Amino acid sequence: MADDLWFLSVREQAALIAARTLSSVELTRAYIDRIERLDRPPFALPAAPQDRPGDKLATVTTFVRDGALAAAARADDEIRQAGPRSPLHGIPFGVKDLLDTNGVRTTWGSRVFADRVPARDAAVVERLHAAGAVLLGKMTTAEFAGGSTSTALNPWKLDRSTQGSSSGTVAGVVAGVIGFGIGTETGGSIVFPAAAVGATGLRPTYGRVSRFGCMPLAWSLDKIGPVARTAFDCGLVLEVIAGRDRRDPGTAERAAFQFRREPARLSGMRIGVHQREFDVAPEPNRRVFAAALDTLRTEGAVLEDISLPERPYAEVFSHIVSVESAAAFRDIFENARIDAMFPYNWSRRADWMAASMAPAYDYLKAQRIRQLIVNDADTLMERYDLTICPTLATGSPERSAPTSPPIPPPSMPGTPPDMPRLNWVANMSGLPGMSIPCGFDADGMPLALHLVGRAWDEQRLLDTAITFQRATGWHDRRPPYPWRA
Amino acid sequence: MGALGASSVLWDHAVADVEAQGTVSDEVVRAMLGAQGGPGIFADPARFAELKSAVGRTAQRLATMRAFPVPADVPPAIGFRRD
Repeated sequence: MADDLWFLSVREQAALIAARTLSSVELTRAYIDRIERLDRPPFALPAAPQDRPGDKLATVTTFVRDGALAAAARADDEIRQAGPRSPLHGIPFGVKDLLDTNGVRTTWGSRVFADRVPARDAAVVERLHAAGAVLLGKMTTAEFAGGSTSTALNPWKLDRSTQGSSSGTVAGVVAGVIGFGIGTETGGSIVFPAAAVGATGLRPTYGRVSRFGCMPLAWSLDKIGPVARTAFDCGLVLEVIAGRDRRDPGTAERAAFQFRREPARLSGMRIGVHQREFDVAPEPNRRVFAAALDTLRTEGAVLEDISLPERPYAEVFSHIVSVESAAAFRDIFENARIDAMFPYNWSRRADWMAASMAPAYDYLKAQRIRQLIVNDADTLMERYDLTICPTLATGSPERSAPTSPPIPPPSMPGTPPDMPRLNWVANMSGLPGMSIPCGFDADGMPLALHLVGRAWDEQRLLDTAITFQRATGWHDRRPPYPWRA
Repeated sequence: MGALGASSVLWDHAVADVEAQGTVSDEVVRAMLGAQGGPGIFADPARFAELKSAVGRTAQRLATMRAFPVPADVPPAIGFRRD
């Protein structure tokens, strides 16, 4: 049996479990050992993102050690009696600490909710439990999904940012402390952190996955999706978590997803390349991205440059998020619990207050401009099967104090404020996307491509990502932590 | 500022302020707080300064969006539907 079980893909782990050469308890114990050695016992909210928790990764906020072992034992019994009921049966996972877990602390990353223990599971957690997956931990997030704040450490270099609110989930996947993870994205919080650490992250179509039981940040923008070490694994997880849920009216009747395991060939696929975003990358990174695009050409895809119209993307996105967040969090203003917010988030608190006082007219104007952006995206995606840009033009920068507005991370110096523009378009249009590792920058930090697909066509994203990963193997590179000197 | 009772009028002032001088006046921010029931936690001077900056950022966004033309037949993307 492999001595690095924790780095196997879910697909590989599931095959071992189905063949009865690996038990869920053995696999869960392997991850527990990893968490206890590499993470951050005794598992608590970090005082602030700037506070370095030593050389521990801090990916886990609440560790479900005993519960995981009990669930793994149940899974082994069930598998012995009837075989695995899904590819996730017996596989340990972590969820971003915005999703409710019955009887397990769910803090939303904040001292305001440090002792909050829900009496229900989020819909996604229900589905994962039903599939037999084993909850191992609540994964660290910046307070109230505070965007680029960086609470979990980056396994590639501990002084580098994890670039987003799903930081614990992505870092935990790459460091091999969970089998797969669940993240959330409002404006980039799956794809950006996935890129920063070299994980594979999938943002589903808006309405594909129920948000019932998940902290709302912006009702009209929030998505929940899988993070894993391979694109194939993302497909396996999406198949389990997708589906209509009447408790979330944002989910669609067509939300269910059946993952086709064998990817379709890329031959003849039309891919629109947002070249402007590649052009702002530093020269060494441009070579990495060019080689990645050449791989897609070699597989038969036809690449063409695209441009996106001039729109006030950043302003529209920021206003919609600020107004909807302000409404969602209004009650903690009114009962003064907002005073317990971390100081690093105080400018965000003020942004919410300002947005809560802004006229409805301006919110509706933002949503009317957003409709233009949706129309642009629909026109573009009639011509292309996929569009593509760098997820981030640079490797992840050093950890630093967060910025406001917090989502997405700030642009690199010298780039327009609305970059990465395709990300704005995709998130405001509800289009699915994937971030896949495609190489490294000169400092050894991961670089990634952001694939954006047509609404409801996650399969084509997965086909492309799986084909790319089979051809390149960048996703199989492992961070040096903790084996570095 | 007592005459500026309506929130939308206050935001018109805030937008005009940021366009003219890059910041909003204390008076406008205080009137906004008064219109929504009082200063609450923003009575503290440091917090008031944070809020004033936030109102300035918001007003800058509004100025950009208000100046952006949208055809009259484009509805907001608020998407209520019944399947």
